This record gives sequence, structure tokens and C-alpha cells, in this order.
Amino acid sequence: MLGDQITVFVNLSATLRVYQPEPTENGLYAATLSSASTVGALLDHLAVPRDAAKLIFVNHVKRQLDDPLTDGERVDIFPLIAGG
Amino acid sequence: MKKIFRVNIRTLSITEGPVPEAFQRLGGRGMTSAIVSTEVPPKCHPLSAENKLVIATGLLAGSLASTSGRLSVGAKSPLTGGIKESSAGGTVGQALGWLDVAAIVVEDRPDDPNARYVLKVDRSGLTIENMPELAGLGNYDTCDTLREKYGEKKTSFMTIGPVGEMKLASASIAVVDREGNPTRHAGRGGLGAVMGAKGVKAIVVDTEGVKRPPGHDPKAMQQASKRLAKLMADHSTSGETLPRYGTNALAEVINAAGAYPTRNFATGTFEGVHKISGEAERDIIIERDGAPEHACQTGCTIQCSSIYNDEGGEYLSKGPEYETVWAHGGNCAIDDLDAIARMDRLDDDLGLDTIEMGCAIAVAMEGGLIPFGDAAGVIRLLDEDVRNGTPLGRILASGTETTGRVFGVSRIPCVKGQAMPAYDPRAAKGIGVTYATTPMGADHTAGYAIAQNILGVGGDVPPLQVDGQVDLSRELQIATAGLDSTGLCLFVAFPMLDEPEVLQKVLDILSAYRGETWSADDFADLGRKTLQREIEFNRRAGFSAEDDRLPDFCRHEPLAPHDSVFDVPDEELDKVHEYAR
Repeated sequence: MLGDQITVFVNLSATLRVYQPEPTENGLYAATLSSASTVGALLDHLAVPRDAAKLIFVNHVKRQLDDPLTDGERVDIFPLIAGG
Repeated sequence: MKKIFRVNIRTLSITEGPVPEAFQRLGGRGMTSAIVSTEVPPKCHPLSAENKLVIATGLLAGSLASTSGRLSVGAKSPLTGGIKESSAGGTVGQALGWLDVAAIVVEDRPDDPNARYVLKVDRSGLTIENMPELAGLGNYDTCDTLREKYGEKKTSFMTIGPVGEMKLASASIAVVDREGNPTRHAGRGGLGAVMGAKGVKAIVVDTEGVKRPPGHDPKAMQQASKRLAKLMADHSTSGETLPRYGTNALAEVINAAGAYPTRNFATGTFEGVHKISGEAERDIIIERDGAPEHACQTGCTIQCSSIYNDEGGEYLSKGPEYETVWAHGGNCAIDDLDAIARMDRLDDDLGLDTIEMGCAIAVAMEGGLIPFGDAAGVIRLLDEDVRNGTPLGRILASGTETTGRVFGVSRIPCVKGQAMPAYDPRAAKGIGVTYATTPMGADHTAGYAIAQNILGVGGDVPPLQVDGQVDLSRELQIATAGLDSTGLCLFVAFPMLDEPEVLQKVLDILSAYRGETWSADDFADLGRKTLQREIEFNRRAGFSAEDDRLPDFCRHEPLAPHDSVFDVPDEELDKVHEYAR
């Protein structure tokens, strides 16, 4: 952590792959944000339209746009997906 | 008028008759479970003359409704010892629909163990031929031989491979896709072994000189079908992510949710998932000029299937489905998609349920047979041991529970003897309720609570909580049993869960095609009645509430990353099917 900044590790999947910046660590993109950032702010940082991100997991737990992020978390972002 | 063929495979006598009045509004799983539950002695041995192999088309088979060609196969299961229905896509369901066939029932057992019967259905009826030259052939060679004999233009096939002929409990029944490859399988529950016990190697369906049945009200049928296709195209699952990334689009999501069973259900995330995801699979398919979007049956507008070429650009298999990629991949700690596609090809050729086989191998890996991650070892086990029917190959192809016993493993991920699919029930408790309580044995398709637990389709029921899971699973199991009778693909359920008009269109199509009135209540009643029949069969076969449980480790071994166990109380599980008692 640098001062009032945090770093989170991001994976964008399926149709949202077009928004994935070059991976910087273990196939994930390290995004640096201000320490008070929410999931929604991360989407804005990545230029992912907020209504396109239907499923967001932070450290394997489903989260909403206004949930806060903390340093070192992993964030997986998906559109609406099905399969079986 | 729809008809039922009955074949006595010992006397080789064939009868053709109308659908009995009581079964008029049944199709697919509704039909197979009605016939099995009324005609098969519940305590019979599944490989005996008393068991029956029932093949049934859906209520909408042969129609132009998108995805309406799912084919159901039913019998008493050699894997679970209970009633079984397993369905497949591919081309046979529509072809039998065109021929107005509601069901084919194969009875008794042949006197000659070397017979390899081929049943042929065409516009003149059903005939039987013995082709002993098919003995021991894989499904691919079997289909090539059948094509040479019966032609390829208007024919479709369902076949068993050597594992079905060996009558082993992981044996599937293959159905050809539109390219004539045996890639779509009635996989679960060992129904290929029942077909093998009947001495039937193949069923050939020939639609020469036959046209698609227009249905009772062709105009209403056309309008409603068109609207249903539009609603499916407009939902971002059936219209976008499923066609683009296939079923394996799920790998990253289920892994992100911590519910991707890894190394024989030891943990809930796989470090190599990125290499075997639907996204990686699509990239390889495109790079090698395969087909990233492909319909497994004519008229399907979802097109979630694909064609996977090898490194040299030659056809290898269909794009392996999510369950297969997981069973042979994450669950065995294998992160090589080419190796997994080769295993998929071998499973399809040998006639194996990929879930059961992947789980059996993972259990054997835990027992020390070969190391986790040993892809070459798995290919050798399949291509040499299983194909040649060595004692080791036969053990593996007898299923996960048998394999676990032989290798002294305590974490055996089975319910009613059937291996759990690609969602750990400790991290998605709604699907755990379904695994425990469906009469089919651990089966995700019987009540796909992953939609609400993880995917946010049809509402949200958080995956780690206990509340709401029993009601969720019950509702899904009933709706699914209804849908499984129509012949429509289960993937119609995704838009159906979010958009009420989808169910209305399905009802409109049922009414227009069949000249009957169908309401939402009729649909739910059909689902409930089907489940009641199945549960009653299992009860008479010797199952009790104690069989509606997950394996013990699910309650006692916490699963990372959530460190969760399955804690839905037994008395809650017993409430799932209270309506049926």
C-alpha cells in the first residue's frame, strides 16, 4: 500500500474481457485506486459500464457496486453467465 | 398419431401401438419415468431381463420450436439402483419426432450374448438386424460402419461403445450431432450398460420420405416459436454468453465463487482454471479454425456447442463441455485443454459419462494410482485399460464409488452411488439440496440452484446460507421435471427464470403443436407427478430418507476458501419432497 492508495487484482471474463488491461501479475491486472474506493469506482477505473458487470466477486464473495475494496483483494468481474 | 414401439429382444418380436390414454400428455422424462415406474419391478437387477430400456421423445419433438429435440432415456440405473432418466441433444430426438414416435421400449434379454442388434426405425416401422461385426467397436467406428450400410443423408444414430457392451455402470448412450459424430450423450446413470445388457448396439433412425409434422395449429405454432426464439436471443445467457463461450463459460465464475471442486473435492478453487476456461477454449477453437458456435441439434438457436480441432487443425472432438473440462481438468488438477479434449474424445468413443469417469479417476488419483495432474496417465487409463477391458479399466468404468472402495479412499463424492458434478455443495448449498434429494442421484440438472446461488439468474439466494435452499431446490426440481418432459433444452430455463413470457410461449407452443390446452398449473402438475412416480419407484426399490443425504465429508471437512461445510439439517432435506408422500 502506498499512502492512501490500495492495489486490487482484477480478472475480467467472457464478454468483459475487452476491458481487461494487460495482466501484470499471475494473469491478473493490478489496479491502483484511492483507499476509499468501492467496487463501482474500480469499474469506472477500468472503463467497464456499470450495468454490464452483473456478477462481481471480491475474494470469492459476491459483492455489490457500493461495497468498499481493501488492499490486496482479488476481484472477478463477469457479465450475466450461464452454463451447466 | 404418436406411437410406441415395443421390442422383445429375446424373441425379436415387435409391436406398434398408440400411446395409452393415461400417457397421452407425457413425453421425455415424464414418459420414461411413467413406463419404468409402472412396468419395471423396482427390486430387479438393472442388467436383468426384467429391466426395460425406454427411449422417449419430448412433447414437442419434431416441431420447429428451438431446442425441442432433446431425447430422454430411462431405466432402472445400474449405477444408483434407482430410477433414472438421462437426456441428450443431437439429432435422434427430432428424427423420431418426425416419425411420430413417442417411445421405444426394449424388453427382456437376448439368449445369445454375442448378438449386436441394430434397431432401425423408418416410415415403414421398426426392424431388427443382428450385426455382430459391430462388437467391440468404439462409437466413432460404429457410426462409420452404420453410415456405410444405411447412408448418411437422412439417418441419425444412437449407439453404445465398448463400455456399454461390457455392461459397466458408467456407460453412456451416444447420440450423433449434425455432423454425424457421436458427441451428445445420455451420460448419467449407466444407461449404456442397460442397452448393452439388451444386446442392442445401435438404433438407426431414417427420415427418408418423411416431412416435419406441422402440428395442430401450424400458424400459431410458427408465431409462438418465433417469439420464443426471440426471447431466448434477447436474454444475455442464451443469446450471448452461452453461444460465445459455451457451457464452459462457467469455469471462471464457479471458481471465483469458490465452488469449483478441485483435486477430488479437496478445495474450491483451481489455480489452473485460467488455462481451461471457456474463454481459453474459445481462443483455441478460433485459432485452429474450429467452430466456436455450433448447434448440436437442427433448429437450436442457442448454439452453445462447438467443434474443437487438434494442434494440426484436424477435428478432435466437440468443444468439451463445462462438466467434462471440470471432471477431467480441475478435479484431476489437469490444466491442459488439448489433453482434456482428447479425454473427451475417448469418453465419447468408449461410451462413458464424463462426470462419472473424471470423478472416478480423481478418486483413484487420491488413492495413489497416478499423481494428480498426470494427463498422459489418464489418457493411458482410458485408451488402454478401459478400452481393452482390463480389470483396472473395468473398475474405473464401474464408477466413482466402486473406484473409491478399491483404492481405499474416504472422500467419495457420490449421492445414491452417482458422482457429484462440478459445483461443491459446501459452497453452493442449494445445489447440495438438489444433489441430496433428487431421485436421480447427485445431478445438477435436476434442480439447478446455481442459477440463484451464484449466477444471479431468477433471483438471489446466497450460496452459503441455509435459509431458502430447500424451497429453492423443490421449486426448481418440479419445474425441471416439467421442462424435461417437453424435449426442450434445459437452457430455456435461464431466460424462463427471468422473463415470465418465456413460460407462456412454451405453453402456447405446447397447445398449438399438440392441440391440447396447457396452463402453468398443468406444467407444474406434470413435474410433480413425474417426481412422485420416481420417488415411489425408489422407495419400492429400497431407498429411504437416509439415502437423501450428502456424503459425510460434506458435513465435516470445511472447504476452502470459505471454510464452509454443508449444514442444511436432515429434517429440512426431508421436507423437499413432502408433497410427494
